[in-house]
Amino acid sequence: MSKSGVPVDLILSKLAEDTGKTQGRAQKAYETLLGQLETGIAQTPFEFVFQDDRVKLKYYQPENRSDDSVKTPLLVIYALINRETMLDLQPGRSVVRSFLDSGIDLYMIDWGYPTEKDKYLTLDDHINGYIDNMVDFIRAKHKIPSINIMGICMGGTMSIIYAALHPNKVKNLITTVTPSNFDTDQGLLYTWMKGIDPGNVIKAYGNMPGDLMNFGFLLLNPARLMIDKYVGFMENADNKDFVENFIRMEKWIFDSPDVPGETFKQFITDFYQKNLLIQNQLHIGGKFVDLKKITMPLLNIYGKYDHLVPPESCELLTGRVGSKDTEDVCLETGHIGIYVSSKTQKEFVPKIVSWLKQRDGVKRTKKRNGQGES
Amino acid sequence: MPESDKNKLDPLTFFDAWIRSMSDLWSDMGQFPYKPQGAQDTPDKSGSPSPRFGRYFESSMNAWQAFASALNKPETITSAYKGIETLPELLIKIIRPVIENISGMNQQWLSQMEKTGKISGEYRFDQLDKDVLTIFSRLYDAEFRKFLNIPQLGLTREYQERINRFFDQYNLLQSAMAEFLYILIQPFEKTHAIFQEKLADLSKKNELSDDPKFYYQAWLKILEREYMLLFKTPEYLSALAKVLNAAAQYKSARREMVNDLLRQFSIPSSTDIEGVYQDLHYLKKRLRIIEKKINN
Repeated sequence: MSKSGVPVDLILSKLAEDTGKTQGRAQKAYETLLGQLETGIAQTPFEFVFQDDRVKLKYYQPENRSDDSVKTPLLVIYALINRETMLDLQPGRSVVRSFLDSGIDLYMIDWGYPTEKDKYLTLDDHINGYIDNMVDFIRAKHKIPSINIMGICMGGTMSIIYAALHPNKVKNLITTVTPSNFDTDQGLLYTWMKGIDPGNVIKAYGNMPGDLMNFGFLLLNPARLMIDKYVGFMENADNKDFVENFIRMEKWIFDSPDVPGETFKQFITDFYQKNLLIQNQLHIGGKFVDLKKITMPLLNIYGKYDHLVPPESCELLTGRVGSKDTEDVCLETGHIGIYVSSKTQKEFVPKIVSWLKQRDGVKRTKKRNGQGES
Repeated sequence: MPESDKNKLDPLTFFDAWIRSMSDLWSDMGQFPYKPQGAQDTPDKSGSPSPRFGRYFESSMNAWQAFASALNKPETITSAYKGIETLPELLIKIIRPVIENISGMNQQWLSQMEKTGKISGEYRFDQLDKDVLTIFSRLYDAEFRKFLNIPQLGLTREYQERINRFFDQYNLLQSAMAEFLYILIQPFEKTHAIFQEKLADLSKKNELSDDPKFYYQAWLKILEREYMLLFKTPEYLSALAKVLNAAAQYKSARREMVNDLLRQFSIPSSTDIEGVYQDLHYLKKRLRIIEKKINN
């Protein structure tokens, strides 16, 4: 035993014993990495049915519809950070595939890649422009007054605003890992964002660079995200399935479009720094975003171990909206795990589908604050 | 007279000799008639003693001789020499505080390194030596930055100011980046110290493992916790804000400098294009509103 007390001799002998095994694994890893790998993401077939500037609307048609399938189409509004391909990362762990299997007509916004010319786009342009145009398109196509909307993360925040501004166009609202209360010290992001000057950043960069944001996300847990993750990869490099899934995730994580400058500035200032939404003080495009006008059923899903959008940031919403039909669901997972972990795949989509089924075809006849629709 | 004094050059004599030889040389040059290479050797019809160039030369020679005679006065030479003598002294005066600051920085750095070795400060960042983090920026602010802020004069003043601003912001970014990276490395140093203590503790309890993964996981857990604590400290938040701000200022300064260059080649600068983007944005927005009004 060495002076420090660490059994270095035993550790070395164990390593020596493992040398043979390690050599075999290294050879297999070499073959795996040089061999044919299936690492494609977003493989479920879809078609672009609508386009407004660079923003496109994807339509996924369900193969099997049954009588008890949800009839109202569902529009998924993803965040402006990273890409919506996360919902269709790999076969067997695809939220998109699960929705299609349940017979839902699925639409999803592909925000594309903003360029310098998009730097003046505001939240108003996104919500009352792109989103509203797409909702109108779907309503017209299906000849229905309102549709179901599911928002993800920042896309969820935009969905809340949209539902408050256009309540008659939203039948049911589902928010997933959606920040609505920004006055929390549970997540590092909330602490960090309070100290930065977004105006200065935008003046210099134009749009908020995706790479810079990704670097910030890596810094949230450098020990795990910059070291342990890749140690894990090296340990499993001989496992083809593991390598394929790992690369799929890497492809998605580092596929980060820039965020339009004005939108970024507005989001940091009005949400992270002033927390206007949950205090019912937010204005978008000169219009007051009154949470009490959200009278449609609301399902709010979040992750217990989410370090980006902690539960404290999500759970106030249901108590602040006008709707009486609200439900909070806290899943035992993190921010990304809610969509990609095999465990939550069995809970997440089935919960949404059953919740929608219970409300599909139900007409809202009672008007609340004059905003309900029949 | 001692031998060393004999060899010493008398500046007064040297200066006088140089002025005289220069005056003689240019006077002789002035005596040559101006005749370009290959020109005909014909007398000047105007009767002028020299052509145009010669007249300029003669006038310049007169000015030089007046200047030289003034310079040649013993009191002028003594005064000039005194000025030359004071030059090294002046340089030393400028350089001394810079050297003193660098030496001070070095001493503080060594003292910090010594402290890091002595104190593990388990799961605490309040003992971070803030001086070390800011010492380079203070040195740059006090000793170097002022040279880039010397007021510029003349027609190219604004261009030169933008170039100076670019270099200034570049240096500030480097300084902010160094501070930020220094802070980011702290958890590794602390983890190392805490890990040693943990091993000693495990050893006492006879709980050491022969599995290398056990040690890796223990080390990683400490590192993760150290980072989580660091990221909430005011020191980290301040360094983060500073580096982001410095990067923004640097990019802005770089763009302004490049814009100057692009204008010279009639290439639209980013500022020009931004104006077009802004117009386009407002036009599209107005169009969208009108379109919705028509559809409704």
